[in-house]
Order: sequence, then C-alpha cells, then structure tokens
Amino acid sequence: MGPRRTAILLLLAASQACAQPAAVPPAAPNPPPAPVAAKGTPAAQTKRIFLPPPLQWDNAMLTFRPALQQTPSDFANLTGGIAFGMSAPAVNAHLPDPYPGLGWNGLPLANEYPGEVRYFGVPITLAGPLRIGLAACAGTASYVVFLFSERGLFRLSYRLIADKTCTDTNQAAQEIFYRYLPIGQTVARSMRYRSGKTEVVDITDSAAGYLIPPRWRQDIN
Amino acid sequence: MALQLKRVLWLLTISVMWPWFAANAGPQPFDLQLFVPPVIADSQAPIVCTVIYLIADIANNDLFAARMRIAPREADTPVHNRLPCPASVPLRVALQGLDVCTSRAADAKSCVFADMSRGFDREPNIANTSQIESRCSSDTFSDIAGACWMSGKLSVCAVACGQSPEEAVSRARERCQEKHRQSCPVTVTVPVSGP
Repeated sequence: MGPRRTAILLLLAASQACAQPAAVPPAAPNPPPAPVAAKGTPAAQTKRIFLPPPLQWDNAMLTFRPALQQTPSDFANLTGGIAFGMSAPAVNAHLPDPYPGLGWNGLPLANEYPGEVRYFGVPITLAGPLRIGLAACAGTASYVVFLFSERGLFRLSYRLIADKTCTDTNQAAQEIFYRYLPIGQTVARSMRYRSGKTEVVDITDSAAGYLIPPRWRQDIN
Repeated sequence: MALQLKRVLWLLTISVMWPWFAANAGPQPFDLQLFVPPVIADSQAPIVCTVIYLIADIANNDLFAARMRIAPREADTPVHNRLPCPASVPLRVALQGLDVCTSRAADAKSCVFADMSRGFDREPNIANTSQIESRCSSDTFSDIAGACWMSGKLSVCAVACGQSPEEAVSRARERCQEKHRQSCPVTVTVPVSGP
C-alpha cells in the first residue's frame, strides 16, 4: 500500500462525522479546452442528453413497466464486478490496489445515515473500473466512497472536488452520471447533485429502502 | 474347433468395434450444444409508438429524454411503417416523464419541462414551461431537439420535432430565438424512438 493510500485510510478513520475521506493529491488529467465564443457571437455547442431506459405503457396509458429487463449483472458489468450486497472486504478485493486487512469493524461510521452504516473511500484515480474512463478532469482530491450497511454495499458515492488544476468538475460528474443512467431504477438509482463546492453522483441499490433518501452534505463536515 | 474359431472371430469383431459400441453405450453428454439463435431485430417491423419528452434539471442544466413506449391496439395499422400514437396523451404520462428527473435530482422543484416560456429566466419554475410542446411522437416525427441560451448560469431552452436531427435542431433554434429573443447556440437532439 502506498503512502497516499495509507494517508487516506488514516484520515477516513479520523473523520467520523460523515462519509468523506480527506483529500489526497493524485495526478489528474488535464481538463479539456473549453469552447470559446467570440464576444457577442456565442459559439454553437452541443449539449449532452441523458437517456434513461424507456417505459412501456399499456394502450390505455393507465399502467407502465420498465421496457427493458435489467438485472444486477448489468450493473456489475459497469463496475468491474462490484455489486450491491458485497461485503467491504469483497469490494476492497476488487480494487486495483486493495487496502491490507480491511474489515467491517475497522471502518468509520457514516453518521448521516440511520442505523449502522460504515464506509471507506479511494481517490478516483485509484478506483480502477469505477473511474469509467473519465475524459473530463475530476480534481486531484476527488474520491469514490463505498457505503455499507450490515447487508453489504448499498451505495457508491462519487465526490468530485474542483481545484486549481480542474476548476469545474461538472463535466466529469455528467460523464459518470451518463454512464450509470441506462441502468434502470429497478436495479440502481442514480442521483446527481451539488453540495458546497463538490459535485456528487450517488449510485444506490434500489433495494436499500430507508437508506436511499439521505444525501451527502458538505456543509455539515 | 469351429465353435472356438467362431468365438474368437466374434471377440475380435467386438474388440475392433469396441470404441463404436462404447460411444453409444455411455450416457449422452449434457452439453448438447443446442445453441440459442441470436435475436434478430426485424428491420421491416413497423415502429411502435414512442412519445418522448425533454426534461430539464435547472439546478445543473442537465437535459433528460424520457421515452414512453405505448402498446398498439389490435386494430392499429402502420402508416409509412409507423404505428399510430394516441391522439391525446394523458398528463400522467408527462408527469412520469418528469419523474426521470425528479427521482434523480436533489430538489424535485428543479425539474421542469424543457420548452420554457419567455420570462423563464426571471421566474424559473414548472408553471413557465409547456409539457405538450416538450414532446414529440414517433408516428409523426423521427427526431426531437432542444435549443438553449444561457441566462447567467441558467440554461433556457425551447423544444421542437423534426424528420431529421438537422431539421429538429433548426426548428428548435428558430423557436428558441423567436420566443426568447436571444441567440440559442446550445443544442441537443436525439431520435424519438431511441437507440
């Protein structure tokens, strides 16, 4: 385990208030050049569109169901094998550089959730397949948090923090959100919001029940 | 002696044929290699009705395309290879379209229909948007587009339908510029029936 990983794990354990690992400075890709518009003549730009799976309605348009059959394996295909319900050591083992000796009791509590929820995080640069081939810059301090109830993994939370090298992480958040959106709400619930200076993308197990609503808030830390 | 010779010949025959007998005497393999043929899409099949809505999350300027497929009636016949869509679409379908945003946003109030009225930049709420103008149906159009201008950090848009992506974008830009009296350089388009 490298010194950066050790530092983030130690700082994770030290911050009990909320599922927020401390910042570490891994290398980040350079941001793509922003389109420049001449003064008074805005340049034509193409906007990204988000395409959730379609719904199938009956002819009277009284009832609907998902038009596509999706299963947890569709989700696992996106995450390199990480699936909801996995234990913390099992998730850790799927990471490219796992933490040695990581166990449930050693994980800090995420106090924004009811009941016992624990977490650990990794810098997004060390998240392996969860980095999903980001083209946009993500900020050197950005990270992915894995949140666990006693039933296993129920949420992946991407926290994208702007910095001097990447002044806007909205594009990266859009890319991540875009990647998970085709997975229907019956399998995983994707949510995107901003908290303070952080862009957040939460991917939550649809079966997580009362653990679905809580959202991360930067200002309570 | 002749009997013994017959027996020897019989045993020789059996031993020579043994592999063949053995192959038939054993249990059949479980893997019968009954390959399931791939599902082949019928490219000639008529396009089933899809009603698509463009929905905006004004908190982060995300645009969603909510696709609603509507089952045909038995009596429906395709026109130009497109099955008809219902003449009127109930509000509940539009609200379900809106749900693709509200279920994914931090604040449900930030989700609106993407065809916005003049003055939306001053009063950005759903009352200043049109659900009917934010939708296209696959029986009459192949593409939907949005065209937007930036009012500070807020993306203000209009929606239009077309028979091609270019036509839809052109009509959306025209509608946006006419309605909002602004240049609308930011555009987006997607097929109505979807990928």
